[in-house]
Amino acid sequence: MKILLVEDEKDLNNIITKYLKKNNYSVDSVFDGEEALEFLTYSEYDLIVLDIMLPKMSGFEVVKKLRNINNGTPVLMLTARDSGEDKVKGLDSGADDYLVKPFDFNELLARIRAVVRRKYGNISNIITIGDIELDISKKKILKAGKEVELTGKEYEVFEYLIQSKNRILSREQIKEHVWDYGYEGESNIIDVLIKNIRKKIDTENGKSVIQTKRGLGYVIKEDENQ
Amino acid sequence: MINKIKRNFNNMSITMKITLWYTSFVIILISAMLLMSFFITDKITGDTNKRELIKAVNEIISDPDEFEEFDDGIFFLKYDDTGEITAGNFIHGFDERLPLKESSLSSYNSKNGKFYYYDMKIYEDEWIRGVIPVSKITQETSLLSLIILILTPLLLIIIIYGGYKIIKSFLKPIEKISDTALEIQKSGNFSKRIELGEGKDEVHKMAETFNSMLNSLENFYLHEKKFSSDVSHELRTPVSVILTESQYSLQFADNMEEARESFEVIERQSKRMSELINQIMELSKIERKDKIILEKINISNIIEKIMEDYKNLLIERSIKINTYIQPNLFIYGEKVMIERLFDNLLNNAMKFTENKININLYAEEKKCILEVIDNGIGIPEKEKDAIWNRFYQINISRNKEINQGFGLGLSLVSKIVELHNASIKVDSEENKGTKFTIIFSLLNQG
Repeated sequence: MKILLVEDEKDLNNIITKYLKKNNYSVDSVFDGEEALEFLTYSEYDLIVLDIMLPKMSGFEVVKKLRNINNGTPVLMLTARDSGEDKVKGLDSGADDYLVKPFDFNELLARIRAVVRRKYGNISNIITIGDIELDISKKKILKAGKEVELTGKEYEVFEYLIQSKNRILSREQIKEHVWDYGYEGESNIIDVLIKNIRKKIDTENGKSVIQTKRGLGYVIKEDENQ
Repeated sequence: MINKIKRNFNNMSITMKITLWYTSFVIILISAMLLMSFFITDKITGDTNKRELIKAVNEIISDPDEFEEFDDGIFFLKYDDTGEITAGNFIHGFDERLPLKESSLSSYNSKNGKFYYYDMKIYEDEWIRGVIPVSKITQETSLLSLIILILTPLLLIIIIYGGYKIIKSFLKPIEKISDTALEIQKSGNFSKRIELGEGKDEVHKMAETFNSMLNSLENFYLHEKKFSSDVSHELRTPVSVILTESQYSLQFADNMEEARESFEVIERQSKRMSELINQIMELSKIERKDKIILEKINISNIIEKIMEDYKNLLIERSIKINTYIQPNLFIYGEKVMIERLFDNLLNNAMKFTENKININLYAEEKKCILEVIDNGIGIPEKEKDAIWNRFYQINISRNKEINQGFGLGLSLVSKIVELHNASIKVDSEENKGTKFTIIFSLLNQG
């Protein structure tokens, strides 16, 4: 999952970025509203964590502009004001959730999970496909009750595929959602990762959970794995 | 008993009290007037009767042959020497045997009423007595009494009811005032006002005063609300950093190097917080002061000393500084505050200047003028008034890398200027620079 973090306080921006990366999110960090809109025109994000008080353009304006160009990326607002007015204004301008500073980081993570979950239309943090169970809040994968260990990037790819189950995702899309803006990796990196995931998750004789659609990309199908 | 009445009276509404008060007085007054008027009519009637009686008896005496037993409401009796009646009729309720007295008017009361009688001797052996019953008041007076008896209660009712209505309508606004106050107290909404409409009486005046008091209360309240929200805003960000940084470090730092990095951030943010708290405390301490003790101070020395302190820093930041300080200028002031004022202005100039600062201090027509001029980004015209507000920061300067301030400096400056009865003005052109001018009253030099 890829997050755009917009926060002008350098130290806070740094630590949130570090924290999110530790939790297997890809993060692009920017320091003002204009920069945020620029990043949003070039890349796709699963979520924007947006401070309200920003130089050049306030968080409210950023959301408004975003919604005006029909960009529905979920927005979680960070506000240093706990007045009801700001919350109402934030939500009404198009934000999906808000969090008042200072916040507990676990709460921020939980809210991020909830917003992303809603974006993909999932109702719970635990998604089951056949005998595979993914617990997003614990970042844990169980295969027939046994835990499967994935690397950070492998996990990110797998979570993205399973969150958007039944949708065919192109290699480019997967890359967009798993790597930061500046990444210039090998073109076959996704294929390599998928191969690794399959090795760890699939049983020897059964067909793979992740299906390859030639010329299109990859998909995890719910019904075929029941 | 008296206590009970007192208690009941105290518990009554003002309308009731006033109504009761004037009602009792009106009743007492009217009763007294009625009594008086009855007494006076009675007296007048009596006097008229007496005069008529004497006149009638005298007429008879002057012409004794014309004796009549009854004439015009007066009875006449004739007596002989021994007191026997020789002419005239029996008068109901009057005792004819009362002794005769020469030329004297007497009254006689019986159960049938009051009589006046007047005796006179005609000859040696003949007396005339005139008797007039006085219980019969005249028809006019009886009509008057009747009118009074009917009118008085009617008048009383009109007075009481009218008065009650007027008092009630006068007191209605007061009720409205207390209702408004209660509503504000309950809801904490200071935007409520008392609406009485047009009017020039005392109550309207009072409501107006009340409303203007509410205005200033509301302003104060909004001001304080904004201030505390600003303070909490400014404190929340460093607290967020400290909290997240320490949580992260506790969870993920696996060597001293990483932990040290976190500590550095935490220290930086804590310092920022404590600096903010200090500034807020200082500002609120100065803002609470209405008066300070001013003494004669040498402002030239103060400015010069501060410039000396800043010399190295200015060189370090490669800011070119030009100073013109006229020596030994004296003003009334408080040394620490003047230092704070100049310090803030200089800091401000250093923050925003391109590369040059001018400091001027000189005397001009009994004024002492201090100028701080920079060639920085300037202040947009529409924000020139806002710079004095607490927590105002020019938008670009919100980027914390360039500017580590909180926007409290100029608030402090303006408060210090105010406490010194001085004046401050700002001339600024965007991207050209800003000039702050402070004008103190100058004391004699030396």
